[in-house]
Amino acid sequence: MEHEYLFPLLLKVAKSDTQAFENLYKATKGQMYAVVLKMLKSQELAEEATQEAFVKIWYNASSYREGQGTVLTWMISIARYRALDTIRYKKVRKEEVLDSDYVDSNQSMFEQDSINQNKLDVCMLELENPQRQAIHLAFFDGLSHAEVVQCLDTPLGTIKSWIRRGLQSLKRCLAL
Amino acid sequence: MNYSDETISALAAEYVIGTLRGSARDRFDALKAKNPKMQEEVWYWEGQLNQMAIDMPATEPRPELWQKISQQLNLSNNVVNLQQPKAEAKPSSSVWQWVSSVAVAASIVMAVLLINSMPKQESLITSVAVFSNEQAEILWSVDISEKELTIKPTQKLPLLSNNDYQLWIVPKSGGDPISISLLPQRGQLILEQGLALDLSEIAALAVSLEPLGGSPTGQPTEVLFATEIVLLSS
Repeated sequence: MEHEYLFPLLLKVAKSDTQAFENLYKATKGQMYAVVLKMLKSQELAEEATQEAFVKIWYNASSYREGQGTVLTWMISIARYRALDTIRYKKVRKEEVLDSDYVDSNQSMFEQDSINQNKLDVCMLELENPQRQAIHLAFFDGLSHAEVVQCLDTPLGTIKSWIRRGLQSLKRCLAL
Repeated sequence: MNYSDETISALAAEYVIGTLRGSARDRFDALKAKNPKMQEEVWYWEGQLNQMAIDMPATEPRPELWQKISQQLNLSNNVVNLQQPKAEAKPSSSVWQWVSSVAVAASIVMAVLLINSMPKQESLITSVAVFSNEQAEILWSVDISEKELTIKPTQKLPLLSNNDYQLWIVPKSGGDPISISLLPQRGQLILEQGLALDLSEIAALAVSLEPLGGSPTGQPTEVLFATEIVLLSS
């Protein structure tokens, strides 16, 4: 489990251990960068967001609590929020054409990993297809409601409903 | 305004996936800072939904990225940055007991002996230290110059396959030991310390026995050796 390896490292990073920080970086950089690159679609912006995320992790390592998920999900939160800030303040996708490639790539990525299914995977598969697609587009690609509308060619009210109801169903399933 | 559990959960979930945007996101940010229930719900969704991102195939960033991060934080490989410790220092009696033990006295004697046999180096060595065992056999020598700190293990060092040795600074302030690095069992380790290492603030160096990868707690697990740093006369 990656958490058993990363948690001791993060504890040391909280004590300003630079070697532990480098090891933490080496162990997670590929995942962190992949997440923000998919959202930002730009090497330069993705590296910038990854850099900002790791700087924040260095300064905030002591604030991590195990109730916040695993170390890696906590780190990914920081990276994703940086990427969302980038999308918001730099308006990165303003002129980008959205197409069905988004849907196809997310779907195939999700199916590829079905061998190692955890409860979240099982619950995601129990969602209706459109709900799952809409949530994937928002989560993986950082799309807004309006951008998901454009991508799935479906009215805004329907998209909002798919995402809201999909997340409600997901929580019910995860609680079982 | 009171929010139902269902509303809090829905807002938190959309905050985490990112569809809560603009001023609505700002408002929620402000609300959750004052509302523990909202904060906990955000943590719940982060823990759940971000598992999807863990399943993504990794993509390696360019190697320069680490350089940029370490420059921004004023780090570099193996740099010891002691002037801005982030954690509050607390007394740690076990290491201090070690520092005051006879092992230190024995090490100082050995350090003096070692100085005479040291080869000349480009960077002037200003201080030295050695770690030795109870039989007074030297296990590591430490050379400190203005630019770097070089640590070399000797042939007497017991090799560990299931543990690591870790080097610590014991501050004079009485605060917790500060981790410097894992120690090599073979081959030398050079740490670039720059001007960050203030010798006047260091009571001793210590070596601990740790699980592979280093201390899981950020503090020494089992202190094996301690030694003082000896300042050379100019």
